[in-house]
Amino acid sequence: MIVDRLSLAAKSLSVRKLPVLLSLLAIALSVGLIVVTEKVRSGVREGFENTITSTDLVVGARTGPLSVVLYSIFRLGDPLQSVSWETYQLVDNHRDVAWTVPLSLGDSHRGYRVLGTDERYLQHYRYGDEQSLSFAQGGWTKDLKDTVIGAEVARSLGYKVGDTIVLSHGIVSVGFADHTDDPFTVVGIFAPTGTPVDRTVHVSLRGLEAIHTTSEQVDSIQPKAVTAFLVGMKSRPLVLRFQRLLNTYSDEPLTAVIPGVALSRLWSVIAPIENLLRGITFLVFAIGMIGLSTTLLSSLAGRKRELAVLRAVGAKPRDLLTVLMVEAIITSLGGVILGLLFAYLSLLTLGPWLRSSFGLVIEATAPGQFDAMVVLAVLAVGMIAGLVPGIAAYRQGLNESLSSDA
Amino acid sequence: MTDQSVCSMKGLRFCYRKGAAEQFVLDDLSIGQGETVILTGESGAGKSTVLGLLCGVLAPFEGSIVVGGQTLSGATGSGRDRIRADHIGYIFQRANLLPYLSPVDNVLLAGQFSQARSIAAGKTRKGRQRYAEDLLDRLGLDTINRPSSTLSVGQQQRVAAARALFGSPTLLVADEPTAALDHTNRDRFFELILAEAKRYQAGLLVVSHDISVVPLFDRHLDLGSISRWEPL
Repeated sequence: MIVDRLSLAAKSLSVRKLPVLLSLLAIALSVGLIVVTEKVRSGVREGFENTITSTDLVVGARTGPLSVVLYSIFRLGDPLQSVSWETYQLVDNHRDVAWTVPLSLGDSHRGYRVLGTDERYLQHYRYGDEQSLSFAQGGWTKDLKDTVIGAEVARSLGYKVGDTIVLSHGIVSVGFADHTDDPFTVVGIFAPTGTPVDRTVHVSLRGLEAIHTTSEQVDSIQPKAVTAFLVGMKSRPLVLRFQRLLNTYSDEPLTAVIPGVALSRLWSVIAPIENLLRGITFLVFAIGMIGLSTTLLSSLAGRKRELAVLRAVGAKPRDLLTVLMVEAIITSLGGVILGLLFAYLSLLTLGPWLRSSFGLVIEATAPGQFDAMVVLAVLAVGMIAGLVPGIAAYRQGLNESLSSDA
Repeated sequence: MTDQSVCSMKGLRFCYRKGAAEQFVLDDLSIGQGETVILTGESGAGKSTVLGLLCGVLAPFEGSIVVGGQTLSGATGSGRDRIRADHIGYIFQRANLLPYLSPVDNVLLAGQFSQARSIAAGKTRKGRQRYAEDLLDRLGLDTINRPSSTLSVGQQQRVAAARALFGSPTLLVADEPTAALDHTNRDRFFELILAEAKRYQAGLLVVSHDISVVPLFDRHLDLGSISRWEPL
């Protein structure tokens, strides 16, 4: 008997192919969108929080912790003061310190920040899932006037390895301070990372100094200061103690920041945008659900005859309810399956492209709790949407069912 | 159950709503085994009320309704549904069929809600299928093997008759079954259904406006003579 009801519902659905298909698609789209948006949201968040990994401390001149992270990691704003070369050397040679990476910020090229650093940047800078920087073309700087550019710089300005570029002083791209005498040669282009590295023009520390000195002195150039530096400790437990040591260093005022903590705090600034994304996702989902309810409800009017015939051959109101519920569940289940398929297929196909073009890591991770919740929500709404016409059918005066002009 | 009758309605009092101004009063309506009855009446006389009461769709607040030996009056809603499924074959004025089922499946539908009629039609699925095909065959629909929605109105009504007859119910009830048919189809329909009712020894109650078919039936009842609306 159950099989009979199921096949009755399935056959009834099959005659109303178009409206059923449309509501199925509406569900599939909203399920697909909500799953993809959620993955993008968590991907962007993770990408942000993993802008820099495996670095224990970021150190700059005394200022707020967020501002150290902003200029050293995001190349945003201007540091008011720098750290002296002597202090930097002292830290670099400390027995608890495994490695350091010097960062010198100052110039810009067509709005992209110029960063002076050295090979240690290449060795120790990690992002995402402990990934190190890799080259799309070329390699690290060898000469004073060599530069390595980030993926976005290369793409938007159309630079290739071998091109020469001019670096200007300050971050305003139009001005009198163009160092026209000092063209730099692009020797390497980084692969996309989805981090500020993509928007950075890297030169050697000495190269950066060279921009600001006359050419005769080039051989004797020695950096006098760095803007900030990254520190990796020999062991994790040493981090907090060393941070305190730096923050209380009396010879020069310093600020040492644990990057993960600062990044989480920065993210909370962007949280409203994240909530907006969530809100939009929810709306899309709600629209899909309303579509499902509408289809089921509007189909009821046209099906009074059908239900009357079933009543006349002896169907109980319960039987009609079963048929309508089975239909609603078939429709919503079909929509959910199609939607998940759509979501994961697009993640699988677009994922690698997003990664290679934008360094955005949106992974088609295995369906998790969120997906399960979406599935349950759709089924629940589908069942409620089926219940409403079902109850209407249940209540439909029986006399109405038997009268011929129903 | 009174000796030979397949249904009897006695001393009924019914009103549509609590606190309604009028009540429907029906003295006596009984149909014997194999008896064919035509019920006529003016509009508003209460034909659909009689049908609703007889099929267990409406419940009287006084009086007794017995169909196939089972008391409808006083039974629960689902009890009345079961009695209807087991004992009554119902034919609407039009649009009797589920368009997405084949004519044979439409006939088989009558067995889906009644175990008694299902078993009476055949113990196996195949047997029931044969039974339905034979019925359609006798009603002149032997070559019909296409979607129900493409049948002519006359054919549809005969499929509906076949469904009503499926599993030999005690009582056939038809509400103006030929209202949508032309004269040729109307005569043919009555000829067939009257013969089948006799063959199955089922009672047949047809409600109709059409006085010209009255001579075909065993008995003619005028609703006005057995019932009336009374103020409450």
